[in-house]
Amino acid sequence: MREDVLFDAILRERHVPEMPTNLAYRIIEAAKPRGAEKGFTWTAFQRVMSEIFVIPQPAFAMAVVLMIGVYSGMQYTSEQSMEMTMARANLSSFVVADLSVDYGEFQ
Amino acid sequence: MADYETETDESLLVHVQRGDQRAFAVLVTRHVKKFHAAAYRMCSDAQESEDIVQEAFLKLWSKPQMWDPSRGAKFSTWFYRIVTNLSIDKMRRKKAIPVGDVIDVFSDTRESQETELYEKEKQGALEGAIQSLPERQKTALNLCFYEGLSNREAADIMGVSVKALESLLVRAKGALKDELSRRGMLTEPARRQSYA
Repeated sequence: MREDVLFDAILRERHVPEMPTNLAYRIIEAAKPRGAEKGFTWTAFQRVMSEIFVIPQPAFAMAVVLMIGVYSGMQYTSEQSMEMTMARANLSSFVVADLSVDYGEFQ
Repeated sequence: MADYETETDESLLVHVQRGDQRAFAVLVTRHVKKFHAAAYRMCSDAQESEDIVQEAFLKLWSKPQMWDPSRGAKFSTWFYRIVTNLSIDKMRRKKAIPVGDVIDVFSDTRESQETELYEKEKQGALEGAIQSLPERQKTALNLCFYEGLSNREAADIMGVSVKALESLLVRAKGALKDELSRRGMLTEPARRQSYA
């Protein structure tokens, strides 16, 4: 019994040398040039997006809303302008065709 | 800006996963001493233990996605596994220190008072005896006895069942007891005389 107590006491006396005081600093400094891997993952993206709105960050939220607005606006404009261009082309070809017909009759 | 000092390890890790250097710094400062001691107990080499703990933290920084919060593991338990595995890798590459060597180093270089010498020799003998244990027994002893982890946590880190871990612990303590007893360290009056 006494031997067990003594044995535990001896084990607890095991010595660990003091850590160098600058070890934490060295590790932090060594990490600086590397940069963490920031690979794109959907979970990370969803987490960031939810945090933008759940934890209010007005600037980010405004920027996201603006980006969505500009994008949808661009979609609408480009579709509309394509239709208008096609209508103009049809009209001008009709006018040109008519003129040529008139010109031919006079000769 | 959030006060990182009061945040949990797991919460800091989420910041680290986004490349937050400040959160990483807080995590390092908070745990470096504990993991340095753990690495030292595994390899019994001051320089090596510094390298191990540095390598482990840099590994965490360069690949923070290694830690998966959905598994619900505590950071410290998970990080013990990294430090332990790195230590084992280093030890395997390095030649094992024979039991008597540590004692010889102390007795050759130190010529101080008798008590101090006795303490040094005792530490050397203990360290040598622990280092001479089989790798898995030593790891089990370090994690449970010195790091204060529960049997379940230590078993998870080592990838064994709790029963197997308990068996490793019993064998480790038995072997150590035999070794220390053989050296006369378990009989108080005899201890001093044998080293005097």
